[in-house]
Amino acid sequence: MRQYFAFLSILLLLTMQTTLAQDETFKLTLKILKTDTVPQKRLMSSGEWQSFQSKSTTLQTLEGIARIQKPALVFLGLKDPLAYFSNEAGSKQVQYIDVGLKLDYTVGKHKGLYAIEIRPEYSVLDPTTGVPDRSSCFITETSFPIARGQTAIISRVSGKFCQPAFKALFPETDFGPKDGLFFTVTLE
Amino acid sequence: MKKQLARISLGLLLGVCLSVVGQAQPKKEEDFERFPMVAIFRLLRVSDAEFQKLKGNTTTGDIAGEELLSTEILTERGRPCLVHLGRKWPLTYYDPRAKQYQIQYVDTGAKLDVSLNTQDDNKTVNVEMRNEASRTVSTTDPNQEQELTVYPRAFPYINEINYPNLKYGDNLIVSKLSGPTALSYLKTLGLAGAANNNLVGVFRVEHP
Repeated sequence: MRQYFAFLSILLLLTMQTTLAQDETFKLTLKILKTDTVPQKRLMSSGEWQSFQSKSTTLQTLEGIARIQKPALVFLGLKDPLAYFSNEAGSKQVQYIDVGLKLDYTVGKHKGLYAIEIRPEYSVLDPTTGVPDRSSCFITETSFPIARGQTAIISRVSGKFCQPAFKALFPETDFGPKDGLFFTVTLE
Repeated sequence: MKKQLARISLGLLLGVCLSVVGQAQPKKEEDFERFPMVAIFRLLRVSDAEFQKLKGNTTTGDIAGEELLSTEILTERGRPCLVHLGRKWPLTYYDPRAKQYQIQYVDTGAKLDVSLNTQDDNKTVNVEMRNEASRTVSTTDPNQEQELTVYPRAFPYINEINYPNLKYGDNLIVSKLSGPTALSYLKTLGLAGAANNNLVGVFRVEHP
């Protein structure tokens, strides 16, 4: 009888563990950084990330939570209306364009690691032209495996060619000739 | 009677537990490794001597030159990805079939679309890549300098390649440009000099 109960409790524990794993939740932190340091690694441990972050300037931060394999979205900004006349409908129609800081993401699981599908976007209305529907943007769309607690340097752009775009996106920030703009994400 | 009842209840519990465990398993896990990789594209301005030195498709050494643009992205095997820094430029037009105005966005600036693939040994990479470094410019009106609001003039530099078996860390020379067109492009960027107006596009894949 004892053996029977022991076996039963092991089975119940296993079931609970699997059910809990299905409900796993995460916190994602997205950052836009500026630095002239070129990272040696793109998947960093907590210590390596702290060291890299100390050499850079954080321009934007966004945090979101996620449940495993469920798509999530955080958006802070402006829905810019584009109005036009539709002959078919016989009335004016409005289409909205999202401008601001936006993060679409899904966290999945793959062989002991987590698989992130992510699309961060930072955009601003172009102040130079006066055309309301024209925007400057920094967008990345990618996927990669990552461990919990790691930080990934998702993308980096740098060089003299990028200077006008840097200025359009962050008019208050001074960019040196060797500065690059980074998207980073931490999974916790 | 007690023994029989215990057996039945054990069987029932086993059935319930196994079905729950079975349901909790992911339906189908991909059966390949998800190798993470870093794709890096660089646009360099190099000296005439360095330009002449570059022979062949790939080089293992460093290429001396001024880095005008560097775009990199963390990706994984077999998945397309992109990075774009620049402008989304709207072109508005009337579509007679839809009987309404449509907006189509043209991306300008620095853009990198990549899809990398590898064998299970993960030693070399098959590259599908399209990069763009385009700049929209003002039109020069004799009386007034202004940008055209509808049809901007863009100066693109585009590479679109498909290359097999690139080794990690090797520089793939995707394009070499010199002469009046390269000079004109550099002038558009405001980066033309008295000499050394040669452009080299370099692509590399690294371990993250």
